[in-house]
Order: sequence, then C-alpha cells, then structure tokens
Amino acid sequence: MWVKGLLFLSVFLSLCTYAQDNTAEETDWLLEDDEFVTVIEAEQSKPLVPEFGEVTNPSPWWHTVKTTLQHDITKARGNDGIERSKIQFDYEDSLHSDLYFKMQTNYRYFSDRDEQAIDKGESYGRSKVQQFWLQYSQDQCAYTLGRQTLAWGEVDGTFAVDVLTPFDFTEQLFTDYNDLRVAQDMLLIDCYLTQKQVQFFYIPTPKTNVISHSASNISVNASGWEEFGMRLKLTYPGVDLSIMLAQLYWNMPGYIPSVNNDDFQFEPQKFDFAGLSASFARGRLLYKGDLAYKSNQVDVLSSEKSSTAELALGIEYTTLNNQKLNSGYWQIESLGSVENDHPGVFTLGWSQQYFHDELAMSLLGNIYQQPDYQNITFLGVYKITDIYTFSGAVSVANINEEDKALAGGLADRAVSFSFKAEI
Amino acid sequence: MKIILLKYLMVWIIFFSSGATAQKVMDANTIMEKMDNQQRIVNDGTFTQSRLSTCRFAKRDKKISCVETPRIKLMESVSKQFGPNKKDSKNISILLEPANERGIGMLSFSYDDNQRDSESWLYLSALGKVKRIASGSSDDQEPTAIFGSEFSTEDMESGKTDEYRYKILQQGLYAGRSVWVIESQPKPARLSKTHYSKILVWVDKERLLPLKMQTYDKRGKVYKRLLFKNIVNIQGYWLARDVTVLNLKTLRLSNMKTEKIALNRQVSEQFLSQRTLTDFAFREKELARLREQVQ
Repeated sequence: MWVKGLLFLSVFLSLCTYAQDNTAEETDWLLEDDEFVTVIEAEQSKPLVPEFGEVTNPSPWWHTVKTTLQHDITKARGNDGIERSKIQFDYEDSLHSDLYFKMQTNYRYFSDRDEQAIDKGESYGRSKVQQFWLQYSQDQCAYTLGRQTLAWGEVDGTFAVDVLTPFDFTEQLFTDYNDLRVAQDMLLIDCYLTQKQVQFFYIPTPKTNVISHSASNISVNASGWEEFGMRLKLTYPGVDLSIMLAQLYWNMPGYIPSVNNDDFQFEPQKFDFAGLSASFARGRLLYKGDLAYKSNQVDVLSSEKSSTAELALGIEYTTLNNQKLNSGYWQIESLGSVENDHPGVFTLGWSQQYFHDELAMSLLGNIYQQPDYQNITFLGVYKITDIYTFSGAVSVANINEEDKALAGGLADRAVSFSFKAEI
Repeated sequence: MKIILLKYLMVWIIFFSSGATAQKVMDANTIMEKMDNQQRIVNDGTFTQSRLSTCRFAKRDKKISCVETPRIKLMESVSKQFGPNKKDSKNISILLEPANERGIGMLSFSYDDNQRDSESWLYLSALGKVKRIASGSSDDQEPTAIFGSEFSTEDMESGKTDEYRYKILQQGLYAGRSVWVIESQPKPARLSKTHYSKILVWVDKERLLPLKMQTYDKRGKVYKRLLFKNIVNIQGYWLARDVTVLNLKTLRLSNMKTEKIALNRQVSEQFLSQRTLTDFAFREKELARLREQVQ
C-alpha cells in the first residue's frame, strides 16, 4: 500500500515539476535546432581559427602601407575654382621594440582650371612630405624626431591656443584636416607620469602659413628663428587640464610689411605665449576652454601691435540618438595702451552618422564680426565601400567686408566634390 | 525486494521532485550572475584581435549569406577589470582596417556605479590629437551600434544583472548541448534604456555560456538573433570565438570573429592610459608582447 502511495507521490511531483517548467506546447520550439548556417561569403578563404601561437605581427609590412588616390573639384562664384588630383602614400610601423616610424608623402597635380595653376599661369605638379618621423620610447618618455604636426588647445575652430602648427591655405578646406596644416621639423619629448603628461618641443626653423604656391618672390628670412615650449597635461576624473608656455613666431609674417629691401623680405616677429586649456565632461555635455596670453601681437586691421589675452569657450553635446552639436566663441582683447576693438568669433556645428555610419553629415557655421562675414558649410561624406569615399559640400558666405581678401578669399557660393580611394 | 524497490523509488522521487536535481540547483538569477561573473573574469587582462564583418543578408537553401561585399573592420583591443569586485573596466581599441580608419584609437573607462560617468578619449590621427568625449554614464546612454555594426552596446555589456528579471522557460538539448532557456525581462527602470522588451538566452549548462540569444522589440516581435559558435576552452574559461548577430528587421548581419586572444595577461596601468594613444613605440612594444601570447 505504501509502495503505491510512494509511486503516486512520485508521479504527482514529476507532473508538478513538468508543469512548473512551462507548458511543452509553448516552449518546445526553443530546443529546436536552427535550420540554417551562416556564411560570410567574403571571408570563406580565411581560416576561422588561427593556429595556436600564430604569427606575432598582425600583418606583413606592406599591409601597413596605405595608398590614397583623390580628385577634388570646387566650383565657386566670383572666385577661381579647384581641380586637382592627389596620390598619397602612408607608411607606419614598428621598426624595433622601442622604435616607431611614420611617413606620409603625396604628389598633387593642379590642372589648368585650378586656382593655384591660374595664379601660376600653368598646370603643375607638387610633392610634399607631410609626416616623416621616428619615435623612440624608453621608460616613461617618448622622443619623436622629424616632420610632424602638433596641436594644442581644446576648442575646435578657434585659435587662441592652437598656434604651433601653421596652416596651408592652398588646400581644399573640408577634405583632410591633416593636409590643412604645414608640418614642421621638430623634436618632441613626451614624458608620462601617473595622470600627468609633460611635453617639450623644439623647432629649429619654424615655418609660416602657406598662402599661395605662386608667391615665391616673398621669402621669409628664417635664420636665427627657433621655437620651443612645454605643456603640462593633468588628467583627473572627468577633467583634462593643460598648462602651456612657449616662445613662438607669427605664422603670418606678411601682415606687417616691414620691408628691408627690394626683394620683399619680411622680418620674423617673435612672441611669448602662455596658455591654459581644460575640457570637462559632465553627462552628455563637454565643456571646453582655452585661455592664452600672447605678447607682441598685431591687429589685422590697424596693424598696431600689443599684447593680447584670448579666451575661447566651447561646448559639445551628444544627443540620445548620437547627434553631435557644438558651439564655440573666441574673443581677443588687447592689453596695454593700444585699444583695438576685437569683436568675437562664433562657431556652430552639427554632425550625425546615418546608414550604419556609411554616411556622415555635418554642418559648420562661422560668424566673424571683424572682418565682417558669415559662412556656413554643409558637408556629406559617403563611404561607398571600405575603399571608396565620396564627399560633397555646399558653402555659402555673406561677406560684408569691403576688402574681401580679409575674409580669407572666401567665395559667396561654392560647391565642392571629392572622390577618394584608399587601399 | 521491497527495500530495493523502495530505494529505486526514493532515488526517482528525489531526482524528479527536485526539478531534475542539478537543473534546479541554480535558479535563473544565479545562472545569469555566474555567467556575468565569468564574462568579467574573461575580460580581465585580455588581448583580442577581432574581425567585425557587416552586410545585408538573404536566406537561400538553408544558408544565410551576405548579398553584398561585407564591410570589414579589424581591430585590436586590450581590456582590464578594476575597482570594487572588479566590476569597473578599462579598454583600449585600435583599428587596423579598413585603410581609411587605420590608426583610430579609443580609450574608455566604464564604471559599475550607474551615477558615475564613463570616460572616453579618441585619438584623431588626422590631427595627431587626443580628444576627450562626453558619453555620459552607462545608465544615461541609449544603446548605440558598435562601429556601425548590428552589435549594439547593450548586446555586449555586462554587470547589469540586477536590472532584469529572469525565468527558466525550458531546459533540454539544444544543438547537442544541455541548456537552460532563460527569459530575461527588463525591470521598469531599465525598460526606458533598452531597445528590447525581453531576451531569451540559451545557456550551456556545463560551460555557463550562451549558445544563442534572441531579442524582442517593444512590440514583442523577434528583433535580433545572436548565434555563438566555435566555442573553445582557454585556461579553463569557455568562450565563443565566432558570434553572429542577425537583425531580422533590417536584414543585416554582423559577425565578430576573435582571431587572436590572450587571457589573464599582465596589463600595466600605463598601457590603459592616454599614453598608448600617442606613444606608438610604447604601444607596439606592449602589443607585441601580448601578441606573442595569443591562443
């Protein structure tokens, strides 16, 4: 009798357990095998799992060479346009356990419809070494020697602090930010301590902004020039803070035509620089600020010289759906007896990625009060494949300044296209 | 005889009334916490080289195949857990391919404390500059796609087990392995920060590893299916070296292959700092050491 009771109890408990684990009808499908296999077609030739202890280098050296072919066209109202082609080679790799090398060189052909070729009177080609440096890292410090760029400051689109590397104004503005800068031959020493970075730089022969390829008759007497300085960067939770000191030369020596003789040789103008930069993240907001003191500065309009204090403030906000909004303001104030009126510069920006990051759209606006002009650029960059990229931009400017050269040669209306292949 | 029969019956009763004993030893919460804990251990001092492929797909002859050339990103990552109970993490990722994104590096610190903002820095190779990014706290973020793929940040995150309710729906054999099928439903506080109304997870009982996941959108329709393949044991830890996510709404898939991996490596604090974004010689020396230990 008690055996029957036990049997009954066991069957009852089993049924309870079965019922508790869910009804079979509703959940049986959960244990069915998936009826398909997944194939990533393009990867069939690659082994799924590498051999144990496979090669220690991620790829052969030639995989670290990047070749870029690019063609740029800009049609502008009231200005000459741009029509040029570029081939560029980038190579970077570790040469030894403590040595790293990077090189970027390009050759650009300016067609006879390009503004630079029109200035020069003929189409021409021009090669440029933009990066060529060797980095040695030992203990806490890295030593980088060779042609390179160096950017200080936090607020994008303002140049209170970002004054070390000159600009190349012959470049099309929106295609490649690296091309916009004139790389300099420099020794850079970075030492890294806990939450601190100390940086020293030395430039024996600084360069200046490049305005035009045809202005070869204007030379800068660079003998005796040297730029040097240091930055201390401190990192705290949510905050990066930098303090900078440097001795620099103007990037635009041509503003004061202190002509000594008939060949238009401009005198270099030295200035002392002290700066403070900070970025502070709070939730989805990033607050940024640059503060600078510069001695011996020249006012663009009056050509008077004085020391200046410059303040740039910026804010970036990332929305829930990853739209990026930013705004900046840059104000220059003359110090001392010279009283120059320096209205501020506003920048506004927006960017967003679409279609799984294949399309990047952005909008950038600048409002200059002196010289008086406003411009807005709408840019779209579409990655057709991992190799091909197409960019298109429309720029509109409202130039109230009588001397349009003060607006940086900006066109009223411009439309630009760029096609790039990178392998 | 009766005694023998009684013994058999007692064994049978104990076995089934306890919900098949071992199967009921752990409840759904414990299983998910153990899985999450294992994930954190695997992420501690880990170097990986991963290939992330994304394409539109179609189903033909019981095969799911790309119908376009996949976008492929090759990246190296190093991660380390730290903080109380090692629930905070530091990660650095460097893109090796495609050529137009080579050299982009990102350093991120994320904290288990939902009130504390994550910290991220991006190395912009075109400017040669490190830029801080404001990304908010992990709780403040809406899930976003990882490198434009179908993997989203919430597909990859760990340490949020207390924000879901778990229930064992089924158990038995799936793909030749004994599994629990666990349903996880976001608690009200989590619901506003997720794209999913629920997630089903097929957990390998022996390996405490997901074999499959299926996510549902807010209308209760199947949204994504994640398949975990090529499961290997490395230093006592089971992990899937091939994970595919099928987005059944967009008909796009992403496949993440871990091509190289080294677990439980010594990773210095300095390596997981801004130094690695700009001191390339230092970065390559450390990465070369880690690459030598791949499995």
